[in-house]
Parts: sequence; structure tokens; C-alpha cells
Amino acid sequence: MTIDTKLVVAMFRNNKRLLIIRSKGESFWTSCKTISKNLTAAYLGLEDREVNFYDIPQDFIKQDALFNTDYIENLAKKIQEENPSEVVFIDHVPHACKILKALESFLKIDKMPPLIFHIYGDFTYFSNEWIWFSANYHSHPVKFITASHAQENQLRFFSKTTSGVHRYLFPLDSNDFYFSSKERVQWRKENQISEDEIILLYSGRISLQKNIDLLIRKFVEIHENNNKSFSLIIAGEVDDIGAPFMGVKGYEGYMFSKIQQELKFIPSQIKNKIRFLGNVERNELRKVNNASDIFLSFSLYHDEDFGMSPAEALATGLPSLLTAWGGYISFENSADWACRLVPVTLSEFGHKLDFTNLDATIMNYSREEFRAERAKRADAFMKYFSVEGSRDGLKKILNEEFVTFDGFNYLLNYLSLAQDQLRATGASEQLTPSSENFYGQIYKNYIESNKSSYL
Amino acid sequence: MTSEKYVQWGYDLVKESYLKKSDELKKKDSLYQYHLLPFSKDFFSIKNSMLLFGGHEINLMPIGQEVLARDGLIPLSLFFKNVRAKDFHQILYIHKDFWFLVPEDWQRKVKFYELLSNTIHDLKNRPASIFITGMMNSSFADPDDFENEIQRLLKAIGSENINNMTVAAFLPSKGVELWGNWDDENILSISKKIFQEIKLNIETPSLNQILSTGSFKDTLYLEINKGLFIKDSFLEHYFLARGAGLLPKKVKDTDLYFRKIEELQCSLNHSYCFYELDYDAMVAIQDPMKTINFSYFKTAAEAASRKKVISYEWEKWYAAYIKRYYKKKLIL
Repeated sequence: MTIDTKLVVAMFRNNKRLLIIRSKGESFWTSCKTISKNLTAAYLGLEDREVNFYDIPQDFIKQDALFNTDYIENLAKKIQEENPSEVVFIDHVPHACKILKALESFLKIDKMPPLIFHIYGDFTYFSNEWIWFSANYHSHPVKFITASHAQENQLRFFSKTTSGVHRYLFPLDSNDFYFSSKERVQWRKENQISEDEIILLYSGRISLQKNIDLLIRKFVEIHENNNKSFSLIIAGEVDDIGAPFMGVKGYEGYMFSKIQQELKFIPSQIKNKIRFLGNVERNELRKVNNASDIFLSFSLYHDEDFGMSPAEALATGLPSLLTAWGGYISFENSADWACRLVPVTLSEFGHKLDFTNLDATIMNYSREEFRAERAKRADAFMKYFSVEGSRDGLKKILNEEFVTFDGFNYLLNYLSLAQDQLRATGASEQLTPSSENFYGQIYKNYIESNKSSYL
Repeated sequence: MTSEKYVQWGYDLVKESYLKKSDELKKKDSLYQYHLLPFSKDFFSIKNSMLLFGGHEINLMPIGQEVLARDGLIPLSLFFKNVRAKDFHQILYIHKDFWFLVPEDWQRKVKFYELLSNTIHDLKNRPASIFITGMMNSSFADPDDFENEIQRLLKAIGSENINNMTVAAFLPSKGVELWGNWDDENILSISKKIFQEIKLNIETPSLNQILSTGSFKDTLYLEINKGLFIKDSFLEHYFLARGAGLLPKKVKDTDLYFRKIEELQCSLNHSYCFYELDYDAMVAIQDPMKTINFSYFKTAAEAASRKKVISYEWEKWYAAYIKRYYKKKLIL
């Protein structure tokens, strides 16, 4: 069935009423909890649109089947009754395509308003869901909103045309993250860390692809190569998910053991300078950011589409050194805040990081005079990245005309085949990190975006 | 400083570890573990925590490798029956409750462990929530065990305080017929105990909900498990790793004879503690035939003999084995 895009848009355009579909119950991923909360705030502040919400649990299919909860039927009724100008999916779970598929029984596709999807880094992981969408919603008015150039490039890699793909960052709440010199002094005092100690901070999940073991090894080198006194603080929970995209299965307890093994061979005077805080609440995390001097992340996570932890650090004016990977890349290229990248290349044998400038960057960022400008850098960053500061970007996307969705290309089908092979056999030579296979083709989009900043 | 570093998790697989199982053995022996999921689920530790009958290829393990047996009383006694000490070239850790199972020729190769949490919940350090779990079949607990553990809980936390706490119970039931000695009414009886003695308003999360919860800070984890088949459970590690605490340990006279040799952190919040045992001093004060574990074994063996799951012969073998082992050291 062919859908007349213009007709669908015309049917709904007279009202400016958004229906936002959210996850009922928070996401497991800490960063996604923040993203959902802040995106909601960004939409709520739109003056020219009425915003309504529909919350749906992650296991809505089971609940509807077993407990007669009618989540899907009620959503269909709400869409018909409210006649929204756009339906917006802002969460990564439950997957938007699963909701749309379930809606098919109650609402014909040609009665579905134009759709907006906020795309997360897990796009590649849900190839089958998006193939279904491509087949069923071809020619429907659709906007995809990605959070970075890298994710935008990756989505276009899988799309037949480049139109309909937009970019709007994941905003930050300025009440959650800001610079406070008082918090810096207080946190250090409470944790018995002297004022002249240089604190290097990593916050985020301690997960395989985040490369915490590499971070620890680099910390040892920094410690040995420089005369100043350094501490490394690692704030975040251990996550044993492994690397499912490439078939590395995780086992409960594996990551912690791996880190412990790394620490075992470090001289005790350096080991004593490494602190693990575990999972910390948002307020405490802001204080830790404020108390620190440099943020480090050498993540090569396959769905690092934005980088909420570096964004939170930069919001407190913390200078950051990040891998030139995925969404991290877009934080660089601003004179208003401090972010440098560790170059990443993909060789036949995996990722390669170039740490040539590591020491120089660390020494530059740890200068006293550099620290003095922190409040200024925090303000400059939040001018663009706060809910309020970024809202114009969202408005602009919403005001753009919808285009016809031309579907995804054959590469998404190839990805799906590779993933089927991975699920069946536990491995796929196409999905292990290498420049010579399909992984290389997909993730060159996470590397070759170096010149694109968020500004 | 090295300028470039390769990062390659493709080779970071847990490959060639004990977690790789032979298909043949998996089919043959893993049935009862399937029925004890999620408690029997695999997890990782550098001491190679495993279930000995989970299809692992122990013979292929490197000489000198450490093996931490998560198993309970029955698989452990079967193991000591089936495997000769001279054929075992690794170091075996078993739970310290099962010290009396170790035959003399194995003593050199066996060390002991227990799981510790950084957080202990009691009257002074009361939790915000209590999570009660256990398998609803006789491999874990019967109503009497539940009653005892509930009383221990009420005493430690104070029954009057529990009304202000969130209480959740996860009590899965699978393959009841495998274990014997289990009445269908037990589930009603256990539910009644929970409602009457703890509180009426009990949450019942699904396993998916549990496994998608990132933090169990301020949660007391109470696993009602007499350790017949699984002693070191996945779920206990999962909760403790995410900040849950335990009730105060039951102090035993026999603890005196365990000498701590090492503590291994499993997470920021919990650890394994490892011990060696002074066997001679221990058997001088404790008759192994009078341990609570032996009575558990007898009950299970008797019940199972009717179901032909565990032969009555096992009980005879077990008693004979214990007697033979201790005859030099004890007047039984």
C-alpha cells in the first residue's frame, strides 16, 4: 500500500499537538534515565505546541496479554481522539517499532500521524525491528532525530536517502550540572584529598567497551611520567553486558575481576590513588565532577552515540580528554570549553588509539590558570547544551516539513543477516572490530566525523 | 610512553575458560541445574566458580588451576565419591559448611570459602527493603526452614520495624517432582507464613524486573536455602554486587578452626573469604554425623529414593564414607 505523505501531513497539520510516547518506569541505563527526563523538559517548554504524553511499560505485550491492561488499544484510541500533529518516540525502550507493530491491530497505518523518532546508539542492535518499519512505513512522513554527527552519519549509511535525518543533542538540566567552587572544596575535604592533588575522573558504566583497564594503565603512565600528584576516580556501576553487538558474552562478575587483575600488578603507591565510588546519585556526581580536574574516557562503545557523562563533566567546566569516537567527537572544536580527542583508527586487527599527546594535554589541563576559567567554560557549554539553550534546535526540526520515508537500504538487511549468524553461532566475522569487514563499514561513521562539532 | 595501543575485545572473550562446556556433558548432567535457575546461573570469578556437575571439563583444566565449587551437599559428596584425589590436579574450594565431607586423601587439595557482604543489616542498621528468595522445592527449603529463617529475620530487624519497609519475595518453582519430599501445600504454607509473620503487602517482582534493577542499596537479601544442591548462588552475588546486605552471620564453634588465608573482592560490596582448616582440632569437637547438613542429606536421600532420583544407596554410601573417614579420629 502506498501512503500519500502530503495527504497524511495535511490531515494532521492544522493542530500543533504532540503526543509523546515514553517508557513507563525508568530505563536501566543511567544515561537514558537522564536523557528521557531532559527531552521531556525540552518538549514541555515548546510554546507553540500542546504536548501530551502516553506512558507505556517495557513489557506492555505481556501485560496486555496476561493482565488485560489494554495499553496498546488505549494508545490507539488516544491517537484517534486527540488527533496529534506528530507522534514522538523519545525512549529507547520499549522499542518504538514494537509499539507500532502492536498498534497495527487497532489503527491502520494511513491513520497514523507523522512520526518522529529519537534515535539512540542501539539502532544497529535492532536491525530486524527497523527492517520491519522500513517495509511497513515506506512513504510515511517520518523524521529521525539523532544526537550527534556520528549517529547521523551512521543512520544515513543505512538509509536510501539522506533526507529526514536530523540532529538534536541530548540536553542537560542546568539544575543538575553546574560549576561550584564550594562543592570542589567541600568534596575534597570530605574525601581527604588535598587541594593540589590533580583528580582525573571517569564517570559512567564500567563496561567492557568503555576500556577502564586501558584507562588504569594510562593513569599509571601519567603518574610515572609527571612530577605532580594524581588521583584517578572512577564513578559508576559495574556492568557485565559484555559486547553483545560483536558476540562477546558477559558474565556476572567478569568486569570487576578484570579490573582487579589490572590493579594487582600496579605498585601500591599508585594503586592507592585509584578510587572506585560505585553508583552515585546525580547530586553527588555533580560534586565529584566539581571536585575533579580532568575528565577522561577512552570508550569505544559500539553505541556511544552522544556521551552523557562527558557532557555532564563539561557542564561543570571540567576539561575533557576523550576518544575520537561516536558522539564524543562533536564535543571538540570549541574554544569556549576544553575538550581534546585521542585519535582513533580502525585497522584490520581492531581499534588503535594514539596517545602521543596524552601527557601534554594532561599537563596543560592541570594548570592552575586553566582551572581559574572553569566557571566561564561551564556557562559557555550550557549555553548550547542546556534544555533551554538547545530548545531552538528542537523547534527548528519540528518546524521543518516532513519528507517521505524512503526506507532503509540493503545494508540493514546485511546487518540483520550477520546478527542472525551471531545469535545462532555466537560469533560473526563481520561484526568483530576490523577495518576489513562490515563492522569497519558501519563504524567508520563513528570515526570519520572529526570535523563536525555540535555548534 | 607508548604512543599507540590496540584495543581488541574480540580477544577478551572468556574463551577457553571453565565456562565453556562440552555439549555431551551439558545434555547429560545439567538437568537439575536448569530447574534451579536463576540460582544456578553461571557467573565469573578468578577462582573459577562453577557447579561441578554443570558439564565442565575439569580434566582439561590446567594443572594447579583453582576451582571453586558452588555446589551444595549432595553434588559435593557425589564428587568426592566419583573422583579420586590422585586424579585431581587442581585446587578445590568448597563452602566451609561442608568441611566434614572432605576425605583424608583430599585434604591437601581442598580449601574453604564463604561469601561476605560489606553491609550487615540488623537493628542498628535497618534496611529500607527486604528481598526474600528461595526455590519452591525441597532442594532449597521446606516450610520449617522458612519458619526458622523468618524468625531469624524478625529477631535481627525487629518485627515492629518491618511495616515501614518494602518487602519483596521471589519464590520460583520449577521441577518440584525432581526433588521429592515436597507437598503442593507447602507453597500455601510458606505464603501464609510470609503474610502472617512479615506483612500482608508483599511485592512480587519478576526475574526480568530484578535483573534490570541497577542498585539494591539498603536492601536486605535473604536467601532461604539449606544448600543441598546450590550453596553459592548467582542471585546472592547479583544482589550483593549491587549493594544489598545480609543478616548477621550465625556464629559457630567450628569457626575457630578455620584459618583465614585470603579475601577476594567479587565487587565493591562483597567478597569471598578463603580458609584452611585444622582438621584434627575440628573433629575433636564436632561429630560430623551430628551436623545439620547430615540430617538434610538423609531427608533428601530418603525422599528421593521413592522417586528413584537419588538412590537409597547414596545414604548408605554416605554414612559408610563418613564413618570410614572419621573412625580413626572419632568414637562414633
